[in-house]
Amino acid sequence: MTVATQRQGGGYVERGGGGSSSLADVVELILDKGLVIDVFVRVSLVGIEILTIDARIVVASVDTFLRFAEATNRLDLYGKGKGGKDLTELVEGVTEGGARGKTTGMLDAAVDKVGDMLGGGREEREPEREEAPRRRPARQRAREREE
Amino acid sequence: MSATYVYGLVGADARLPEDLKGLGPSGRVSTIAHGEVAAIVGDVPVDRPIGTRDDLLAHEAVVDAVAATTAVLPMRFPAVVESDGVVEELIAPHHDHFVDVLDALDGKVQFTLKGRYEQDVVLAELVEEDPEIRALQEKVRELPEDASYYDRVRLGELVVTALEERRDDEGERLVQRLEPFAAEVVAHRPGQPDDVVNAAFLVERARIGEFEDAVEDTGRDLAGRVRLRLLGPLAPYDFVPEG
Amino acid sequence: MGLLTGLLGLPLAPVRGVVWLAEQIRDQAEEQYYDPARIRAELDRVDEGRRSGELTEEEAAELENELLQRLMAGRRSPGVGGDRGG
Repeated sequence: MTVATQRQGGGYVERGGGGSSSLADVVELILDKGLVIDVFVRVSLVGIEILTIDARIVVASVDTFLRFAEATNRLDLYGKGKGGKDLTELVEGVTEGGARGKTTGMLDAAVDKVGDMLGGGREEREPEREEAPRRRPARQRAREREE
Repeated sequence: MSATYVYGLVGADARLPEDLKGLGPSGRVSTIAHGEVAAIVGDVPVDRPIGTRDDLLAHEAVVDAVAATTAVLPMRFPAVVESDGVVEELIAPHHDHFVDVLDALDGKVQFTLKGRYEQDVVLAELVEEDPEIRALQEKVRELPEDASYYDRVRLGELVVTALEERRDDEGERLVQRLEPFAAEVVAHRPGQPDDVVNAAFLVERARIGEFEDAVEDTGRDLAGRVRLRLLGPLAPYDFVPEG
Repeated sequence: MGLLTGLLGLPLAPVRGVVWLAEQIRDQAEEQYYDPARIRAELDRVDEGRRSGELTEEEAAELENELLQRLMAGRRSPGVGGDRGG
């Protein structure tokens, strides 16, 4: 079995660190760990302009369950899945005006019910991905296979 | 007030790599020594907020380049101090403590091991082994998306629970397998349900080759099921007493 | 109404007002939005996208900076970080 990696070494283990780390790794290392001293002065950090968020854009913890249900669902009959990442969703979401992200039908529906109680009058609301075609995930949805 | 960025602390006699590039406008990195301790310092961006990806990457690159050859006490981001205070406020009041910590870290580097399941492989295992998951998966497949919402949530919940149980067990065994090659280990609870391991190993420099080989062996044994990623050599972020 | 029970893990008692509920949703939404673990997971995915070629370097960098802004903003609770330079 050949083993090709993008980094040094000919092995099964991907290497990183020492300047070739991913940002996610770096964040975990230098934002949460390392020495903090009381003489550190406060500085202007990025993100100062983010003040409010739209409640509908947040994913509930249910999203993790749905994500894994989706992955399980996508396994074909022989147990091999497709993998695939719905990055289009992520890209579209975040780059549209900065403060947006993915949504789930769950939270949309919850917020909408609140809206209904205030006198909206709309019944059920479809999950987000069917209502906003622009943000339909690029990954193929297994249900389209129509087994 | 003029500000100085502090990347980390080293012994005053430490030799640093020449090509360090800092996050400040000049990009220069130098040292300020006092007694037996030296601070690795540089200039600070003044006309913009700090915290871009380039800032974070530069900070880490400096610290970890130093760590490759020298014991270094890494600072948390963002580490800005008043320029006048580097010696008087930062080093001097804690000098002996810093010396002790640097001594304890001398001759050791950190590696951080992360691992993630090959999702499809392990999910298929779960489906095969758990009748409840299998039944629910089949049910969900037959229903249109709208009608299956709660079943999908339930399916996901079962899968996540089973996955976490599996990875807790495998992750622990993975750490135990590598522990003999390290002086110290700090294992964290991995973030996502399909993350298997997130552990920091403090390894003696003389044993780095051995440790890397052991990780490689483990990677080979787990190939196709778990993807391992080894970060390092790193500064000992996980082994620094806070403040 | 099981929907809302699921979301908040709370019984939807008629005694509570709609405003209270909306606030709960918003609070939890904020918590999720600024959740560092969640943001880190998204950073991970951006990196995967960069390496797989689905994202260009520019796109990936832009996403990362946006995510970092969110991360920093979320950390700006009283006593942490700051918004006044020297």
